[in-house]
Order: sequence, then C-alpha cells, then structure tokens
Amino acid sequence: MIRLINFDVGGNMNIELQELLFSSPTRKQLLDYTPTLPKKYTVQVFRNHSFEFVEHTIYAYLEYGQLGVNFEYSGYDDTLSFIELNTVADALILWLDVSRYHSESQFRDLLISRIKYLRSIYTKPVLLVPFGAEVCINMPSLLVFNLQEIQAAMGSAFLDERASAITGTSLSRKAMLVIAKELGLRYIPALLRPALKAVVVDFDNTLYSGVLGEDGICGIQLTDGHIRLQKQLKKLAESGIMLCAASKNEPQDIVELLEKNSDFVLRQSDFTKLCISWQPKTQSIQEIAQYLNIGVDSMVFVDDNIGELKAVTMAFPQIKAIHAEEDANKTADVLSNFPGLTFFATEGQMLSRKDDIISNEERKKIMAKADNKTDYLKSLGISLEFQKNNINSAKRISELANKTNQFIFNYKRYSEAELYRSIEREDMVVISVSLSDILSDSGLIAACVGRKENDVVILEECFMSCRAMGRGIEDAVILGAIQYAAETLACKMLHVCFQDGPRNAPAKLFVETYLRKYLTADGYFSYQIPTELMNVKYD
Amino acid sequence: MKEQIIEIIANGIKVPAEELMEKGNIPESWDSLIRVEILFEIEDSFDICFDSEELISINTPVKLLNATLEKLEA
Repeated sequence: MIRLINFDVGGNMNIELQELLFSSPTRKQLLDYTPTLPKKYTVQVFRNHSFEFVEHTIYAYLEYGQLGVNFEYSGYDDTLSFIELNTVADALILWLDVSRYHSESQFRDLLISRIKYLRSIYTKPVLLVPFGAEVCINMPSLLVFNLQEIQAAMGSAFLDERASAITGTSLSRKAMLVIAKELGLRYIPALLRPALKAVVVDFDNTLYSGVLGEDGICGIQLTDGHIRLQKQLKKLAESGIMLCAASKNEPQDIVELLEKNSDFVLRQSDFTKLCISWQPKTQSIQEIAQYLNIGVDSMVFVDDNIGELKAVTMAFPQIKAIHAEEDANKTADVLSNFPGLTFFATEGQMLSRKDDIISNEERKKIMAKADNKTDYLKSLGISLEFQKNNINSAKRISELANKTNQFIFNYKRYSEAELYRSIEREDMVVISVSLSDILSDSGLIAACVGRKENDVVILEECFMSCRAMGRGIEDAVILGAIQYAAETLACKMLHVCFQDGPRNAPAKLFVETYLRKYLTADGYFSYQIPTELMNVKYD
Repeated sequence: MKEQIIEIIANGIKVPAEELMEKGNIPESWDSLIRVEILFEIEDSFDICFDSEELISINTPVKLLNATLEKLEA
C-alpha cells in the first residue's frame, strides 16, 4: 500500500486519497470524491466534443497534486474562433475530435493557423488534446497530449460509438477515466505549477527490504519492485531531478552498498547529495535543501517509516511525501505519476544542475584557499555571456522565471509566449545571462526584462537561478544585465519595480545593498562589469 | 432489485426515492449530464448494456427504471 502523506500540523492526512487513486478506482468512487481545496485556478476548455465526463472524474487526481481547478467551457466550435476566450484563465485545453473535419489535412491547416492566432491573444499555457489523429506542433507554451498510446493499450475499449449520441463524444467511459488520470496527475499540474526539483529517498525498507546495518549487503532483499523503483529513480536523476538520500545508517555502509552490490541499479554517482547519519531526518532534509539551495516545497520525500514522514512533514508542511510499504512496485507507480515529476520536453539545462551543485563545493574550497575575493574570482576563470532578445532562449528563460523563488524581483511567471511578445516589441528588451567557469558550464542562469517609457527603463522583472547565487558574482550578472538592457533601449535612467514576496529576501537585499550603489536619487544608473576579473561577451 | 435501481437513480439526482417514481415527475436535477452518469452506473452495477436507441429513448427516471428491469428480466 502506497500513501501520499499530506500531514499538516492539524494532523490532516491524505492517506485514503492515495490509496484510492493507485488501486484502479471505479468511476463511481471518483464521482463520489468531494474536493476540499478552493478552486484557485481556472482552466478553460475549448472543444468540439464533450469533455464533461472527463471533468467529472478528474477532481480527486487534481486534489492529490494540491490543485483546486475551476473548468470553464466554450460552446462547441469546430472553427476555433476563440470568441469566448477568457484571457485571464490560467490555462487552456483544446479538446478536439479530428473526425469532425472533412480531412486530417484540413484539420491540421486550420489548427496551425488558429493556434498562431490564439498565441497572439493569449500567452498562458495551452494543452492540445487531439482525438483521432497524432499531432506534433512545436510552439511556445503549447503542450500536446496525443491519445494514440492509450488507444493502442485499450484496443476496441477505447471507443464507444453506441453511447456517443448521449455523451457527445466517441470516447468510451473507460478511456475517459484513463485520460482524466493522465490530465489530473501529469498534464494539468505541468501547465499550472513549476516542476519539482528533488527526490529525497530513504534506504532501509524503501530501496530494498531489510536493514543494512543488521542484515549486511548480502542480507538485504531486492525484489523486482525494488529494481523497478530504482530504475524509476535513476531515470528521474537522468532527466534532471536531483536525487538525494536521507538515511539513518553508517555512511561507509551505504557507499559500499552502492558500489559493491551488483544487483543495485542506483550508484553513488546518481545522487546529488547523500545525507547518511544518525541525526533526525528533519535535519537531513534541511541540510539537503541548503546544499541544493532550493525550498522544501520543491522536494518529495520517500520513506517507509510513518514516524519519519510525520516528523518531516510536521517540520516542513510544504514538502511532498510518499509512504512506501513493502510492494515497491506501487512506489514506482506513484513516482511515475507524481504531479510535478513529469517532463514533457527536454527542459533547457536541467542536466547541468547536478554538476553545478557539486562544483559549488569545489568553489567553496577554492574560496577558502584564496586570499581575497579578487583572487578567488580570477582563479575560477569566470565567463559571462549577455544576450539580448534571443528567441531561442525563451523556453529556458520561461522555465527559470517559473522556478525561481529567492532571487526574483516581482514573481512575474512569464510563459514562453509572453517572452516572445516582449522580444518582438521595439520598446522592450529581454536580456539573458549565461555563466561558465573552470568547474562547470551553468548555462543560462539569469534574465531581466525592461520596457522603455519616456526615456526611462522600467525594470519589469529580474531573476537569477539559485545555482548561481553565493559565488560572489551577483553584482556582475544582474547589474551587467540591467546595464545592457539600458544601453539596448538607449536610456540612462532606471525605474526598478520590486514586490515583496514570501521568499525573495535575497533579491531585496541585493536591491538595497548593491543596486542602490549605482542608482542616483534622480534615477540615473551606471555600472561597469569588472572585466579584469572575468571574461565578458555580448551578442 | 427494483429498490436498488431506484436507490442509484435517487442518489444520482439527489431526491428522495418516493418522489422519484411519482408519475410524470422529472426532477430538476435530472439533466443530460446526470442522466448519462446514472446510465453508466446502472450499466456497471448490473453488468448490462443498452443499445444506442435505448440510450436515447431513456429520458426520464421512470423510463430508466423500466428499461433496466426489462433488461434484467430478459
């Protein structure tokens, strides 16, 4: 039995929901589920066949991902007029039956032209779900959920023409149940929320059966389920999720297990951070969060011990937690469907994240040896590359804007499409900054968006990855980007927009201690990057 | 059996069972979406399958009860 533990301080647990969702729930069970979360998000459904019978069974899945969603509907519209578009909806689903068009090619032509139009009036994420044809479209902030795989797995049970006259769709109710699960656990969370960044796993009775300290390397049991779970974790690590461990064991025993047990799928190199000690797991989680420089709300903790889970979730109510029992196959099922752990495209530069964090330890050693900051920066061989209005970076900039919580001025969660529009405007500029040094290539780590108004640059947004923080180069990265934005827009005056948020104190401190040094009382801004300390390149 | 069918329909449209079967009574909560969900539940619960013409013609709670009983007795 696998449980999503959603303890809050009041002891509210979501055990029943987890059990329900991962034990092939019936339609009636899903219909009977009453969601409790406020409907914070609005998703508009544009359709030419019925979506309602999917919606009826989706709420339990959405609640599992902590999402309260209100669905709004267009009228049936084969022409995709978007007359009824709600431009403030958080996301849009295009739910289209291709068989209603004369031909697939007619549908494709119409679709491409109408999506281009949609993109000019709506910049939030869009999910296309074509029924009856496989569609591949590469457009900003557009995700496609093709149903072919589900159809192939279900065979004739995928369709129900018999009931189509009363349901308004040729999809069978069994197919709609599968689609509701996919949409509720994977697609809609991906539209509305940033992805998770780290998985923290326990070892004993989670990655194998047994207690390493008592049973020894040869005494622990690896079932097929454990192998599958480890493969799933390895896959997540390879996709850019930072895999970490919080285990109460002797560190040398774990290292020996990872290197010497040939049946083990996971190796030490798969982990970004191993926190193996006898300290409370709350302390390990805190250490891991600090090491990764991320919030606990971006982490999911997997442990077999209810007590440990309870202690961690009580200490960090924002952390996600999965309880793994004996059958590790179920843990693997939960992980493969866990909201926020599904990636639908190669996410910009996630793969370099792990190397970057490990290199940070090396940087700390170099800093400790250096006599002063100047020597330290010179010894790192830092290179900064500033790019303006680079349309090819829009996806990565959007990812960064949606993931950054600490170093961000205004929490503007730009979609890719919004960035495209800013890049195209003559009175706006989008500056991105890429960073590398002798230890790692961090890729694109910061961006700022400026708008010209009466010869003043309005700094709409400025954000930097937590991976680049603490290296002593924040001033060069951020102030250099702002200076480049001002030069691009031919302005000498700057107006900085800043909004206090729950976690952007580092950005506020930066504004007060660094930015203000270069900004006069009447708004003039001027900054020069110390090029004697680093290589600087402009596009 | 009849009571079980009535219970499913009554629960689906959230009205007392006794009101449900009054002649000519179509509760306000009986709409096209609820009707389909109740039909699905009846089919799943009793492992029966209405054909497309039957599905279209079952447009009141009483018709659904009678059509289900007919299927089960056939």
